[in-house]
Amino acid sequence: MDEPTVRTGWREELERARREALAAIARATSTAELEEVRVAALGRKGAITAFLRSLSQYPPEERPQIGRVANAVRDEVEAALDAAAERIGQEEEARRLLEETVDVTLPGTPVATGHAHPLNTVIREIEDIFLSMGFELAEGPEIETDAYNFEALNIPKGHPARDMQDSFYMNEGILLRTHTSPMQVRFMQSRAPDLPVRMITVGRVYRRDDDATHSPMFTQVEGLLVDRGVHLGHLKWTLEEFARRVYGEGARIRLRPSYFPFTEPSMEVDVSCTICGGGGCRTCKGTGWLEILGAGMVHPRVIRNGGYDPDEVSGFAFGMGPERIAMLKYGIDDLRLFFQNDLRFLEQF
Amino acid sequence: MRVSYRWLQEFVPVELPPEELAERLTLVGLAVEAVERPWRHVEGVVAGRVTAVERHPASDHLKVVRVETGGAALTIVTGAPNARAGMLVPVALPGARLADGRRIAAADFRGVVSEGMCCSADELALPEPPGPRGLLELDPQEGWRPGMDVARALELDDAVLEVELTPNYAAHCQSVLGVAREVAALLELPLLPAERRRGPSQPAPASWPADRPRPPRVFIEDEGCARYVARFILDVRVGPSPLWLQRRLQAAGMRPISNVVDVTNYVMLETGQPLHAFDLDTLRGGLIGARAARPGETLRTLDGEERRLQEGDLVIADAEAPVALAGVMGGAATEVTERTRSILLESAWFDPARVGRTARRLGLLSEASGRFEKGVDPSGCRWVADRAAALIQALAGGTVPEEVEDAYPRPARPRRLEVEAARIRGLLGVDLGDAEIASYLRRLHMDVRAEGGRLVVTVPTFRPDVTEPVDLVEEVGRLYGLNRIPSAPLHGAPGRGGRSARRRALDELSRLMRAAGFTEAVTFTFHPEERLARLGLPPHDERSRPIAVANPLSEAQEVMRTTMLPSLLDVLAHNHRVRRTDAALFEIARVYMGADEVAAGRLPQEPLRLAFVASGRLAPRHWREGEGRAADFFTAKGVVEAVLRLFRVEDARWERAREPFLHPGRAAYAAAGGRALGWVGELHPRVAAAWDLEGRVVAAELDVEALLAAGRALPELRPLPRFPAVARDLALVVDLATPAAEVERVMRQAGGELLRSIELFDVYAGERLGAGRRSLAYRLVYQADDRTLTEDEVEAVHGRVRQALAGELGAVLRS
Ligand SMILES: [Zn+2]
Repeated sequence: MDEPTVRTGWREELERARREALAAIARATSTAELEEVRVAALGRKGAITAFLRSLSQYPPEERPQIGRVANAVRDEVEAALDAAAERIGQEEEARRLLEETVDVTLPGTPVATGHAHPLNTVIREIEDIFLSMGFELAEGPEIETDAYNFEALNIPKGHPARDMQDSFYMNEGILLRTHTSPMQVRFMQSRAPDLPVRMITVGRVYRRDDDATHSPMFTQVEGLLVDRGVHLGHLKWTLEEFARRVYGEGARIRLRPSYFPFTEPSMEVDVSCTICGGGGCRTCKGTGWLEILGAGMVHPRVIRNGGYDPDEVSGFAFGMGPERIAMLKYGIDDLRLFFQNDLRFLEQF
Repeated sequence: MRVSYRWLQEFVPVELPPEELAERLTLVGLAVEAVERPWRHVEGVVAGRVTAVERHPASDHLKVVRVETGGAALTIVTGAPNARAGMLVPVALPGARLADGRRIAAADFRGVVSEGMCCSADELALPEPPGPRGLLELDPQEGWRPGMDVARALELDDAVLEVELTPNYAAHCQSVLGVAREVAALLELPLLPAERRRGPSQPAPASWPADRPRPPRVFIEDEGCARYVARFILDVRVGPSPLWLQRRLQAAGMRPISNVVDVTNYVMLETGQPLHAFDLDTLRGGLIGARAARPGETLRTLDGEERRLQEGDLVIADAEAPVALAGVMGGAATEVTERTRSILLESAWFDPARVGRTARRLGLLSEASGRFEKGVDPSGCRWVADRAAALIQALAGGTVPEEVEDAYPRPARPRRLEVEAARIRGLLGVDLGDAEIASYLRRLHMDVRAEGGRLVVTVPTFRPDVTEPVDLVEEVGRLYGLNRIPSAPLHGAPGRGGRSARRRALDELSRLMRAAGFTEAVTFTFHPEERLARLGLPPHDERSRPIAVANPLSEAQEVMRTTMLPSLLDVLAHNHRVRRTDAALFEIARVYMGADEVAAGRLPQEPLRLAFVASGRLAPRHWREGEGRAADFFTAKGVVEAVLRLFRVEDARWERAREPFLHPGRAAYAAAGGRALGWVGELHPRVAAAWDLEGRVVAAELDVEALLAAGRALPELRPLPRFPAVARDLALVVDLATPAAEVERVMRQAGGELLRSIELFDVYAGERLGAGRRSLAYRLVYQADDRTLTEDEVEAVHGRVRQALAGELGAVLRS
């Protein structure tokens, strides 16, 4: 063996392997190409690996030096491979993300959801307010006896409210309830003699009227509170609280004496106009007030019919029409829209 | 009721602007709906005397009149046919305004300059006299002189308050006097004496002329009449009323007729007491009075109708026959006409219910019957009769003899009520002193005596509505002012607030249905009977016997629904008509069962139902998802299955439904625990066609009470699995007639505890399998709670499943 030849040979050989590997790494544009380079240089049959395996062919005194140089070359190539892998990985990811780009303005996959009826939305809102004040939800029959619908509520025979024109009858003693007020007596009877009585009831009621402002079926919310020492101030506070929660902190109420056979004193309750704030507009017909409910102190006879002694307890009751509240809230101008169930209407809610 | 503000001011010295008074009255319970001023524009119109009438040189129908208006002489062109020299007419001077707001200026009419305009009644918004239209003639006997300002003389600055009377105020506020009492109480003003009113309140004294037949005697033979006052006015001249009175009647919404009749109406409006004038000379037998109608009696009323009287009708009769329906309408034979010379004036109290019944039956509701029905004050009959007689005398002349018939067998006594002052304070929530309470009641003409803490209150007879102590609470409250009452937070134990579990479940149900793409409907609970017929239910089906409404407004309210389907199909049909065929709607509401119960006088059942209908696509067409999800049996069933999961109904059974309104091959019943839950399916094409619905329509109706009963209240919890699960796929071919539910049952039975889930992922039927066969592909998952299953264990149990399928169902296993 010719020593010098050997000496210069290993250096060139290593240098060539190094140059080729680095050049190939620089040319690589994909992870797969880079892997080929890695296998060609550092794989089990790679050029640098093969050189390292052949160290034993060199004289023992030269092996450490050759080994150091060879290891340095391997380290350099490995580092270059890592750097290239990082670069190519980023490029490939960027390419993939670019390829996956979509038109974000195309419509999404539909999740078909239905809509709540505006009347029920308003009813739930009203219920929640009174439920939070400790009122209990009650339900009662829509087909009702004359006794509960009228007699028990201090509406004797011959009273204008009993006129056949106003009610749908099944027969002489049974009719479609004309209001939710029968529940006042039914609920008191179910609770007597326990106190307090705090009831809220919602339901369909019926009157013989059918035009743009009257529907033969509509809904009512009725509240009742009976306890010791209940007075008109409590009623007023409760209604003020209701108005504030529905219409905002600034809402005020106004009481106008009125007449219901089952309450006395009775009153109509107005809330400051939600549209103009009280200055007067078309919705409130220039008065600044909107009539939203009727209320009063429960008539002593009704309390007695409910199984309580009017000398011991007193109470208040109120009733309102969710239709009216929904009409004001959403600006709906025709009552019939609620019961027509036109999807073009309902889907706006 | 319509109240003239000027008229009101004759009773109470109120000076507030009418709008402000309206507001104040509204807050004490007299709801003033509107304040009208029909004449507000009229200005610059004066009385003028026509001194000459000439033909217009260039026109056949126009005239040129000379008019003298107190100083000025004007030339005016008019087309009125009744223009004649000597008459007094309203003249709109240049610059004047008419009722409609039109301004008058001097104008040239075919060469003649008209220096103003002569007016008709209509142009001043006054009642048109009968006869052909023409100039309004001003009667000098009413005090008209040339130059007088018409607007001032006729109070055309007046405002009319439209008062909506609630039943409790209807009796005592149905008159100017009644409203004046309220105004006085509200503003703490005195009532003015009678002399301040227009026209006399007492007739000039006279005695019965010796040459005239004695006046008829009055009898009362029926308790429906509590008092009957008759006054007599002899030798009257029936004619038109003065303009001021006509205008006031008009303001109140009544039509002038003749002076005598107008006075009866005028005084009724003033006092609330209806009056009737008879032609005295037509009454027979020297008797008049109230009695019950006798069988077979008839009466020709003022309107010319022959009325058949009924038992219970209260009539006014002379010695021979009925002459009036008491409080409702007079008879034609005794009517006051132009030829009438003497009057019997009736001022009486009739039973509100009797008057109301008769008036309603005959369709003769009037201002008078309405007032009787609400209740008039029997104490007032006499002085009201005096006032009316005096006014008739003032306007129509004649004598009013002092002979008065006044039958009043049991004079009304003022009602006495006792109330604890503390109770009034306690109910109003205001610390009012006894004296303050008494002062409010006294302002309402009640007499109040304090006895310890009790108030003894005497209620005037014109307040028939105040009958019990709580009525006094209301009176004090409204005069004190409801809005002054301080509000007080609720105290004491709260009630059982919050939503019940049942209500929460219903709210969840509604939310689920919306999440599933259904929109909430609120439908009428009644419908035409014909809708039910469309369903073709057999007679023994309870749903075919609905509860009927006895007095529907139209067929739309004929029967209460026994199933939700017709209501929802009506809604679907409406949406199809507006081209919304992709539609999904639901409602949670009641049906009404038990026509027999109702017939027996008992209340029916009102079970709660969830129902839905859908047609077209349940999910819309989409660029990526394709044609969307169509409404068909399986999409509908999927919704029902979601509902069952919501209610935790775990043991639901499905079977083919037999409903005449459903597709016989695509409808199912669901049941659980032996109780029917409801049905789901596609509508029978015939039924869909009856509602004009095109394409497949799906529907379901579930019994909410049954769902609540069938479901678990709480979930049955299993610990999270600690050992792995093993999945095995299985494809088998069975007869088409073998229900999938049966396949599943066999698998569950054979798989036992280790078989945790069964997923059917493919169903195939085709020629390859032969007719009447289908292939079902399942993924079965095996798992144990206490160990990892070995391959052998899984093979063993899976093998048992395969064997069972082959053995029990003859299934051919394909893998
Ligand atoms: Zn407003």
